[in-house]
Amino acid sequence: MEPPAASSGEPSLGPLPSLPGTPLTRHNLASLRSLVINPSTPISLIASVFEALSRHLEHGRDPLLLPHALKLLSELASHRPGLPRAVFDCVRSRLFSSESARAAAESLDALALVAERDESLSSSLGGQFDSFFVSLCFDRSVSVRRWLLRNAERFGVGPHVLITVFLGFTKDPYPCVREAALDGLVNLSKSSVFEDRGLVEGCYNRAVELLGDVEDCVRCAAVRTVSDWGHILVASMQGTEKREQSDAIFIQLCSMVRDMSMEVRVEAFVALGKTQTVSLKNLLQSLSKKVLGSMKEKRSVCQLTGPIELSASSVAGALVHGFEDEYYEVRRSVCDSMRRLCMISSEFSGEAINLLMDMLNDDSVIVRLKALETMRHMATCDHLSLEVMHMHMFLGTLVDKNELVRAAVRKVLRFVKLRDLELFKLSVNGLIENLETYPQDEVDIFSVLFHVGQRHGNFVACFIHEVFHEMEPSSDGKLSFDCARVAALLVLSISAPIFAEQNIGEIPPRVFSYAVTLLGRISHAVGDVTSQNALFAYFSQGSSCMEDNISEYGEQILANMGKDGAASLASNEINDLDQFPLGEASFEHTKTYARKFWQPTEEPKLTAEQLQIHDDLTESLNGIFTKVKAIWHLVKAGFTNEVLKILRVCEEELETLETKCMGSPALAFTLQYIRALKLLASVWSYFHPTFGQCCRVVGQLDILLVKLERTLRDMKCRFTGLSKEDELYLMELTSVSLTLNLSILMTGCSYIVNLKRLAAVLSQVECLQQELGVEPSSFLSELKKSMPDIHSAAGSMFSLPHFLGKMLDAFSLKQFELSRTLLSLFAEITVPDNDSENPIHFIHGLPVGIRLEITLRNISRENRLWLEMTMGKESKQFIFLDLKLFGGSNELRKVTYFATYYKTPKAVSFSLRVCIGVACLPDDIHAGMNNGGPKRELTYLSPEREVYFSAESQKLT
Amino acid sequence: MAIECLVLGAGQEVGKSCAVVTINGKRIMFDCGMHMGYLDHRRYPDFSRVAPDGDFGGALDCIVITHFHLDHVGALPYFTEVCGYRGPIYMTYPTKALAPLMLEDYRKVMVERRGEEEQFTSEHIADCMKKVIAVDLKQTVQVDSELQIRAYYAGHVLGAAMFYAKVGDSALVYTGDYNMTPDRHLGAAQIDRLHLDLLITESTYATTVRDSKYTREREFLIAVHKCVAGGGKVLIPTFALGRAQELCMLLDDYWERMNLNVPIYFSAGLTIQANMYYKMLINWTSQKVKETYVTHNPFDFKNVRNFDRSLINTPGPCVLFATPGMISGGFSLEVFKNWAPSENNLVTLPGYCVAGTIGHKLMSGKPTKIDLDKDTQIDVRCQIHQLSFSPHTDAKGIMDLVKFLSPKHVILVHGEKPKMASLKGKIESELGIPCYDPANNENVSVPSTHFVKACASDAFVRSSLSPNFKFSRRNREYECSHSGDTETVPFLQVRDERVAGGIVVMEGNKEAKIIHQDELLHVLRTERHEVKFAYCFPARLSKKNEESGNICTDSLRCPSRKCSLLQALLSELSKEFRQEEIQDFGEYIKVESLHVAVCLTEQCPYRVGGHPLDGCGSVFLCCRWLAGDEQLAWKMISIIRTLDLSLPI
Repeated sequence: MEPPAASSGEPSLGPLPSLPGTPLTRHNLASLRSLVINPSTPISLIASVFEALSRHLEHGRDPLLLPHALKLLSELASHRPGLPRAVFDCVRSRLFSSESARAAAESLDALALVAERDESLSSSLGGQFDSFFVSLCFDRSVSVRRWLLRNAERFGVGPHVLITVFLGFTKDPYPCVREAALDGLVNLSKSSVFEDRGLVEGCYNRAVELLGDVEDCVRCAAVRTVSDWGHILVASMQGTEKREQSDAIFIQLCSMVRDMSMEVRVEAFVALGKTQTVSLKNLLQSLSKKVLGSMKEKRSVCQLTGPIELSASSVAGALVHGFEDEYYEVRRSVCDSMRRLCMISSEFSGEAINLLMDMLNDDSVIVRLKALETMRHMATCDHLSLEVMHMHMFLGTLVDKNELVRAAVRKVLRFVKLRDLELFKLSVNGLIENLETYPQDEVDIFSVLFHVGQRHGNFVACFIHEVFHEMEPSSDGKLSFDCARVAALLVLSISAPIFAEQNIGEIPPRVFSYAVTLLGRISHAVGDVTSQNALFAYFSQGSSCMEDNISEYGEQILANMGKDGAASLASNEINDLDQFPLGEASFEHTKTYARKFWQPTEEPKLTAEQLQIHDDLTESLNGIFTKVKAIWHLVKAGFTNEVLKILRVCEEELETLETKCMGSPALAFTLQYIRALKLLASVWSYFHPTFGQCCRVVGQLDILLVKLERTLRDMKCRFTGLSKEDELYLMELTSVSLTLNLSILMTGCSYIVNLKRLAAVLSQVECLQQELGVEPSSFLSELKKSMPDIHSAAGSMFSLPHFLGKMLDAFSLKQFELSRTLLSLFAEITVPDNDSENPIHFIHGLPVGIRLEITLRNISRENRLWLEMTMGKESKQFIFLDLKLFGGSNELRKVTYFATYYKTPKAVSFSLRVCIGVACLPDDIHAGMNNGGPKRELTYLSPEREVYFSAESQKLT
Repeated sequence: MAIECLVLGAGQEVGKSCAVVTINGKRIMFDCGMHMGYLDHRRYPDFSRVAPDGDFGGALDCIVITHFHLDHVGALPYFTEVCGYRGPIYMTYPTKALAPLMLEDYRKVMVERRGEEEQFTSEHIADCMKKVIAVDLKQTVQVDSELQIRAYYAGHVLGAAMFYAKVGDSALVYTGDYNMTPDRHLGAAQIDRLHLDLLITESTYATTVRDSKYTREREFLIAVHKCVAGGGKVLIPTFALGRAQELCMLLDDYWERMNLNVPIYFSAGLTIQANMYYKMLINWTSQKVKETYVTHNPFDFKNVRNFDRSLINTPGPCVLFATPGMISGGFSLEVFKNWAPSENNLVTLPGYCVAGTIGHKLMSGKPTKIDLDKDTQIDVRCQIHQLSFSPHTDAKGIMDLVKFLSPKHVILVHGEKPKMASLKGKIESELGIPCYDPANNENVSVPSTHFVKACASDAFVRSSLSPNFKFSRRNREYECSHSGDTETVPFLQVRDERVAGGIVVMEGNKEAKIIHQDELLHVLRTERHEVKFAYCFPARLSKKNEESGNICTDSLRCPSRKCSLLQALLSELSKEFRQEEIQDFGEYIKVESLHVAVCLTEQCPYRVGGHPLDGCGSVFLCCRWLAGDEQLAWKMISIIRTLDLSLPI
């Protein structure tokens, strides 16, 4: 009997009477699954599937089938609203009668799965299974025990039960169980608060005991536990006791850095990097393998956690050992943990820098980068004091072969405070050597020189005084500004006076006129601080040496950059965006990222006549905008069909207008807007409370959302010259669409991607708002407020739609003010002498060249254009169009372009669709094209052209 | 049974490493080295002590060689070919490959240069090597049915290994020479946590604590870089194996990173051959080398070229590696003669130079002129840089290894006597492990482990399957110098009761058996007996109360009065015994197995002293306890006796 096959074919069939009652087989379960995941299976059939499954749970004798049945049940619960409770109860009743521990564990897993998707169930979970969980843990099956400990937190077991269980199982004879128990303790320490000092001490002491375990993995977990629970313990202490306990933890962790297992060593250093407080003498001891005098004196303090033997000798040289380690993983984590330790004490940093400097000689690039990163941190908290003896190694890195390393050294130099003129000279010469060896680093080097100059104004004056003759024309009257050294010196000499008035007299004014010759290069390099015009004005003032004005300009620039250097700090970060992945990109970073991309673009210049021509049209368009704005409350009230009708009328009106004034960008823009609104209204109807989620097919919503997004992207990318306010509004619309997208149940990576995009859009919005000085709309402020909630909800989506719905209610439509004339980006492709009758000849397997006549309008250098060639449905090939190849101006470029198509198929004839697209702005964090195509999604600028090919030569010549 | 360790060489000295260990009846010789400082009979270990009758094959089960240095392998051909040992010899693959080269080189020097009578011939060396069985790292070799050995990575030189040997339940590790810090081409020693009865470790640097190796590297690089930047030539005299590769890697890396293009030369001969061995034995090098190997062989030095004699006087900077290490002759001397007079040039010296060599002369104060022989005098104006790299572990490394392995006993060899004594003291005091530093030909005997096999009863096995842990608050005593006395603070402890639930039973000559505690009575075929103690004594009640109310046993018949008396007792006791859990059961209070109750029987058989004490009411307290809690009980009773249990009325 094959009931599932029959029923899936005809979903209208009623519940099959024969379905329940038959023993299930593996094959049956597979067919049932297809029923479950098919959204159009009728409810009645689902009900009978459920019945069959629950019957199987009760009476099924085949233990092998049980996990499959449970899996199916949990799937049933996730696909069908209303079922979770029933599934939950059914599995739960089965749970307590399980004959084997494995079966019980599997049922528990299914329960947890079901509960994770249902808020009411998960809240009712608390404490329900405590005793059952504990008794299951004591079963003799080791793998079940380990699994239970690993998953303990899913079952809503109370933290006080958990801690006892975990603590107990640290005594288990099986290392994997001990490890799981320790890991459980670590997780627990993060999620719950324990007041009982004795309990915390018990956990800590047990972990300390396990530091001597025979198994590597247990020692690893023990190190984590000692660190985490140690900190909890320290937090509960006061005064001397607290100090001693912090030292005790430090000593315990240090004693693990000589472990024979690399993983343990790495873990130990990671844990050391979390140190919050520790006495200075212990810190200093960790830098010296020899036992220091201060440690030798008899320890006259009470050891809280019992006598710690060999405290001095276990700490001795712990960090040195880390630096000397054979494995780069260990050395890397030492460099990391140094960052934290160096913040604790400046004296320690002073000593540590000697060791860190030596890491610049490491053979692994990763370690060198980490060491430099740590130095930068030390410099920013002013704990980095460079000595002359360090300089050979440190500046030697400036000519490192690896450009990341060079950039990292320069970043340190940017922040470091140099103590005397000698260090300053060495550093500047190092930078110049860097410039001479690697001219490609020029931008960054100029910028660093500029910053170094700012920080060390008086050194600059002295130094320039010494080397001024080098900048002067040589005896035959030639100026050698193209020489790297002179250029660098010029940058340095103009950097200082801007910010230190006392130096103004000391820099020869001629320098400024020399510097003008390098204006472009300098302003490019220091673009984060000031603009080219300001710089030029400053140079011209400087060269005429009018002190008052100089200081005035100085102040102006100072005001631009923010005296505390916050802005410059942020902009420095921008230059090194590519290094961010090392850390988690925080919201701040995204913001600066956005700011960079949001530099003011040049406004298109329009002549008076052009303005006049478009005036009438603009007026009528504005009329439509006002009309459209009013429809939003209708949408909210659920009159979707009426709204769509209104919009359709508007659309028709626009289409008639279009016949009058062909190719008006403003008109095209408005049309797009209306289309977007239509889509938005349709999408909205899905979220309307009365029309509820279940009544429509989810798949269609997906499509609508994709269309909506594409339309919005189109509006953003295809048109230039929008006012900032309009752009802001566009972004608000985009975030609405992204929010809506979040609300439909999505899991996994697409959810995360969406979330990231939303965050990116929000940060752009924020920048724009700051620039414009406007208050965020109520929707945006709502959204921003709930961003953290959305983030935290990422794991458990159950409450999301409801939660977002509230937020979306705050949204309302605004009006576009197309006060200026828009320009639309446009491209056209023609393929001369080609149609289906006159195909281009090709030989399969060999590339074929296609002659394309390309016309581009309103496309500027910033736009990144791609030629897309599509064969069939999937096979795409992209070619980047370098605008340098095109003549003409931004308004109009024309070129004959020969595109090569490589993947000619084994066919007699085929056709290609070619079109041109522009890569979108950075809010789309990666569209994930990996076949050499654009990294961002494309917005198509040209209509698709079909090109025909044939393998047979047309004519015999 | 005991483990006997007879130290034949390297006892309180450096040279001719050789230790014969007898472990559970098996005899193993670890290393068979020669002393380079002697030319007479002292150069070899005194083999006659191994087998006075000369039957070495019968006396020894195997020989284990840790690495190819002559002070560890030098006497081997003599022992096998001349003395006639025929048993198995174990060493690692690289040692097997390199040891004959070293031996042959030594033989040549001895016979051809010094004209000595040869101790063994080339054929001897070849024959000896035929007996060698090569082993791999962490490969467990079953020498015979009882003895198994295993090699662990030791750093030090290519192919150096520590050896683990196990017979029955006893096990030991002989380290040979090792290095706990990695260098550019070799990794750090690596070993598992093992249960050891004995650790025999080298102690070359028993008191030295070396600081970061990077300082040494940096100084070397700066010296070399400065010299070549100034147009000078750098001469690096080295031994063919080990140091040459390490320094070369260091320089090659630095060159690569700094984009330097000054040529680095290798003098022809041994060095090239040595590099070849390194290329083949990549698996025995450091982690970094192994990782790099994926992309290119790090011993294919990018910047290194072969040197030609004609290049000696070519102008311009260069770096040259030349043998021998101590500039005792050969090519390095030839180059030195040419380069020493220029102050632009640099000569680096190895950490150790034998007296009489030019290296030694340069080390002891900077001479301006060196007399090579009667006719030649070298004008030394060049800079001298002394290297202090060493492939031996330092004192800290030895301590770290001992701490990590935590053996039951430690024997120190291969070191200088006073320094060894100092390290011995440190190991004993800091780690609490008994330590010995025997002189040559001394014998050390340490107890060995012997496990008794016991079968387990079904009930015990069953009870052990499921976890059974118990929490308890234990007291830990610790010293507190604030108050100067010891104080106890309770702390939470968790115990697994499964093991405690078992009892070992040995019946007559039968095998030992572990049974569950519940089975014990059944096995012994007896019934449960408990020894209980009882003690009844009058309680102290102050006079004030006696006056205010006529307290006698009768009035205590009232339950509430009795309770209040016990409660008073309870509160007093909990003040005194904070860490004990004192339970109140109404009728009596209970601490562990101790019951304290008010005695209502007139004729209590346990009563001590028929009459109430002076100034006390006639209230008696009756205590009962089990034998296990005797100490506690008496402590309690003595406290209770001092208490004044004035009754609130």
